[in-house]
Amino acid sequence: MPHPAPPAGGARCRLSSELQLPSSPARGAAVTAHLGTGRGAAPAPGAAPSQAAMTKLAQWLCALALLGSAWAALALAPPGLQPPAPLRRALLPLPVYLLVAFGCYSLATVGYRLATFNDCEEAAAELQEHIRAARADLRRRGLRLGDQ
Amino acid sequence: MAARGPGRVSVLLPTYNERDNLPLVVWLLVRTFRHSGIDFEIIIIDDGSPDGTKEVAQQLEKIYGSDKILLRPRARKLGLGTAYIHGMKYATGNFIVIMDADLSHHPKFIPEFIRKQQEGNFDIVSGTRYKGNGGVYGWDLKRKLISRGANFLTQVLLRPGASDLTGSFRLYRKEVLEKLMEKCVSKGYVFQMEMIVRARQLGFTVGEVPISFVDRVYGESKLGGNEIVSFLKGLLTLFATT
Repeated sequence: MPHPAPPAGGARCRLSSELQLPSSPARGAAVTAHLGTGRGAAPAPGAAPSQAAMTKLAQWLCALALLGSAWAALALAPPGLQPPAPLRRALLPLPVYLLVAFGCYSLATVGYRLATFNDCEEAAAELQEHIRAARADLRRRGLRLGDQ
Repeated sequence: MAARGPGRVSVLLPTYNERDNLPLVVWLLVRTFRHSGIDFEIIIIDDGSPDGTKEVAQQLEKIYGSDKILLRPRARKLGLGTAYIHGMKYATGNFIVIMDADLSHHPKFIPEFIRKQQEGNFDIVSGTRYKGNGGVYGWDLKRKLISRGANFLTQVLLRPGASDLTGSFRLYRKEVLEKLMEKCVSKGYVFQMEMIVRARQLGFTVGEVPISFVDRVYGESKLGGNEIVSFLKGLLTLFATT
């Protein structure tokens, strides 16, 4: 294969920085899973890395299981091993907080991107102009066009 | 030109009932390539359009020459994926452009794709409606909301490393497209998505160029409940299998 560059995270892939990941459970999932599969370690292109890599679903499940069991261990520990009370009070509703935070982040992101979605008025006007020019030239060259 | 940059670009144009749009797209393509001095060929894959698209394509072949316009029709509608495979068999360029023939993709962006390709020696350059000066024309708020929502969901679930997964205006290195075509099985919007996801899996690099998408000038554009359901199904399939 003629392209030995790293597939992801390489200097040439400015795209990965474009990915705005949620700062919540999903982010944990993303980071953990990413490290877990070692995708940054550049599998040889074309060497079927897909066989070794986990599916996205498995990555999510793994990360959720990790975070979930860490949370459960701390939150549901027997009285003697429990973290201090104030910490515990913050810990118990943490999953719900994270979920709500992720929901807010999603709504805000989609809302912002919706509001800033470009309307390409000029592109449409320019296209109309180009279409007129194209029609005129094609007729001149003897093409029979529809009646539009 | 850079050593591994495009020597010749083959444009694949799958058509179905595009009698009105096809000549205009071809005219714009020819003009763009001649202005920028890029060697090109246009391969028209018409799937037995009942509206006479093929006859129009034959006229275009006469006007521009059969070395520039290659008409490679098929008997009936067989789907986009197989149209690319069919067209690619005849492609002599080392780079392939795929785009819609309905004027929603303006050929003026192709030289920018090529510049971007050379800049980073990318395997794929994808047009994106979601970045920089990219955008759409002719979409109402609901359509934009669905598009943005679907895109966000896709980014979160698949982390594909490209901002426009469902777009179909792209430049591919020929052998990369061949390889991807062997792997991709989805249909419709999901097909374009799968191409990028698999490309990243195989370690191919993807560059992006902002494009303006002008929704169909002539003819109907469709986004119904069916499209949304099949998009979600496809997304979840990719989520569970890649």
